[in-house]
Amino acid sequence: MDWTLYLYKTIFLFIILLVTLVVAMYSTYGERKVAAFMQDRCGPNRAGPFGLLQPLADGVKMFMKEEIIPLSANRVLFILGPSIAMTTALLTGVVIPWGGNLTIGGREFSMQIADLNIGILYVFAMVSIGVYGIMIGGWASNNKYALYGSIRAASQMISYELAMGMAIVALVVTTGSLSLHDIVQQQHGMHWNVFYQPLGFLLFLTCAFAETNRAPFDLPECETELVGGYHTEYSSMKLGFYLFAEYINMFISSAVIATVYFGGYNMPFIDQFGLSPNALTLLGTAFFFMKIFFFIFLFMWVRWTLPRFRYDQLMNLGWKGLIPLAMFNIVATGVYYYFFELT
Amino acid sequence: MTFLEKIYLPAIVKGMAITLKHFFKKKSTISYPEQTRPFSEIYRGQHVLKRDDLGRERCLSCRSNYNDFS
Repeated sequence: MDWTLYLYKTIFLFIILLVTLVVAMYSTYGERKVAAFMQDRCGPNRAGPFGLLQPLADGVKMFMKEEIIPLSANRVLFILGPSIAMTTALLTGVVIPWGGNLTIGGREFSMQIADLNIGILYVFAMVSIGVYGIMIGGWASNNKYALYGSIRAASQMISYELAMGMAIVALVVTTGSLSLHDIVQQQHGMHWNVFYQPLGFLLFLTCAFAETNRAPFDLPECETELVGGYHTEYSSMKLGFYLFAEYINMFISSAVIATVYFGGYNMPFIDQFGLSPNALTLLGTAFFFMKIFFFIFLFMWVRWTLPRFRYDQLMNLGWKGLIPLAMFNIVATGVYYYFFELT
Repeated sequence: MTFLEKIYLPAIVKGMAITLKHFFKKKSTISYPEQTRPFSEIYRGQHVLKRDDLGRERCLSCRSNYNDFS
């Protein structure tokens, strides 16, 4: 029984859980600030210096509100919906390599909770199960608008998962491994995958916007169309779970994009600083988080720039636009690697 | 539409550049209790009873003082 490893993994797990929740919490603050700055206004600046305690205020508000469960709603499914959404959102963070190797007490530990050899496939599996959370929430509410919202959300997420998977298939052709650890190792220095797979990166980014139900693909939850979409009937903490699960999904999607296309924790010229191995690892992790924050900013930036897609435009784009492009990407990558025989 | 126009990418990038420019511009918000907006005395558009230079009322509805214009 390797108690040291188990202890390390448990502590690391709690740290990652805490970091995920704190980053998602401050993403809500960041979203409001970024939205405000782009709209020539100030954003929250009353709840603490520069409004930094605003997420705490929101959390307290969520706890204090009254929990309303409609009489005609299916109680078990009503509570199950947000639980599934939150659980699967948190579970995707397990396979992401947050850094290199840490040397504690003469023993090397990798900064990854579970180095599955099917890493990227596990991420897709969790995202697919997350669709259940939304569908169940919409159905259990016993409300027409919620059902419309959840049907649109489910069909949107399923359609864009295909193009996302195919973009990753082209990447796996070049990488030869599904394990996220290997994918990051191969991007050492400046060999980031975005330079080798630019079309794949654009496809994956677009599909990530659609998977997290984020504008311009946020038809399932926009107020002008569907009152609240699948979370119309929810209040207090269950609504908090749905909204929070969306921000956690945004954080994890940014982390996956940064890992798979932008080199993860690799930093160019990191070997030339001459630092101790632990310091190098921590520097790499800090650089990884900078990439993640840039992508979170990109999510918010695109949200406040683009108008929303109509449902049929969205479906057209997913099936008639992105899937052919993704297939072309796979064929082009395969042809390139066959004729030029690169490893 | 040309191919580049159809994929919307140049339009999206131009739009994002505009939003980013607004990100760095000066905000037009005033923080109310600390700062107030200056406004003129007849700001509210309320009807004001005008008086002529001798202090008599020039009521526009009853027009009783309108015979002698000065």
